[in-house]
Amino acid sequence: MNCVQSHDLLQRRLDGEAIPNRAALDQHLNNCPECRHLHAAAGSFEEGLRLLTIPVAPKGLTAAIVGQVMADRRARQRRRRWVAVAALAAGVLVAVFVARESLSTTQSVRVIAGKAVERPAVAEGPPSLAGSLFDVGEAVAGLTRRTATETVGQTRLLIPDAPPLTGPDSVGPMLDPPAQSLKQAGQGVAVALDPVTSSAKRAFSMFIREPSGTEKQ
Amino acid sequence: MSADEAALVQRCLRGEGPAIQALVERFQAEVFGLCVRLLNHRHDAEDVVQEVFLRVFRSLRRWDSSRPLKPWIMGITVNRCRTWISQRVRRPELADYLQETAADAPADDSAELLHEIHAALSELRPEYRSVFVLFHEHGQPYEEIAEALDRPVGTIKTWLHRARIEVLDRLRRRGMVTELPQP
Repeated sequence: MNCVQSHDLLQRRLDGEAIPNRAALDQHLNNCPECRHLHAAAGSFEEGLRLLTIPVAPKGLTAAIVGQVMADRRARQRRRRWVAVAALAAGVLVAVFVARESLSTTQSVRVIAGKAVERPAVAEGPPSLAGSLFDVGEAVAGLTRRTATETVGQTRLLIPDAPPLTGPDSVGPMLDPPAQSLKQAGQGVAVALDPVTSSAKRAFSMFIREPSGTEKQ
Repeated sequence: MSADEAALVQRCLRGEGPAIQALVERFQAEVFGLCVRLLNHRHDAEDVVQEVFLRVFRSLRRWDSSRPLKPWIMGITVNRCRTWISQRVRRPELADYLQETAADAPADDSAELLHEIHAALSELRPEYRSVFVLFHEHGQPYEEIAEALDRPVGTIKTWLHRARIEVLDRLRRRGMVTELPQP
């Protein structure tokens, strides 16, 4: 027997198995101090294992654990309910958003086309989503049209009637005040320049008369 | 897995309080014992045991009913202890097994031997310690330990053999060996 086989037998001994060929092992232990010390330590090891006891749990630990588990279970159930409600709400919001988007798209198409849109033909049977959406669209469009008409009528009642425009002549009086101001300004300038123009006329007349007088002398 | 275990689990899944209590009582001692050995601290062990059972009941639906329940629960226990150890890096590890030894101290030298065994256990790597405790203290076979730790049986055997050699070396170094008679 060698040291490897001796170690293998040691492990089998500590596994609780019976050791085969005990005489060969004893012979090896007599000749190998290292293996002899190891097997001797195994004796103390087995004695120490017998002294080992599983630690005892404190009183009240079971109740604490069960209470915590039950509380955790309730909390998780509440959380699951909230998640379900939130998911439902999110689904409704998405459905409303999609419906509104499809309605606005339908109305735009109708306005651009400028002609009436007939309800799409729906097969007999349970109401389809497309049919329901069309009905909702028609209802919203009618309501919007009625509201707009009523608003225009009420606004007309609030604003007084203005005199109708008669034609291009009516533009003159409207522009009269600024034209009058320009005319008055022109007259003012002419009056202010009158002495200057008179002096200039007199000087020019004297200049004409002077040569002719000289010629007479 | 026994039909009894399957029925108990089904009742737990329905939220029956007595069934939950029965399952806790059935495995609490072993879970607590393993936690004390792996953490070397009774108060930490109490906290971790509660975490372990929370995990067990949260994931009970995922348990494979064709396999025994105990290795599955012990696997969760080892994982929680490992996580706890990695999270308490800054906290000193209080080896309060000394108090346990003092309280149960026998009259002879066996108290010292028991102390050395505990000290040797606390020096083992966590995976070696898990295997050692599950095999020698809880009496679990290699196959169940392998299932609990999700490792091959060969790896479990290797870990246990190395753990034993380390404990034997410590006992030799501390003079806790009665020499075999010289030929």
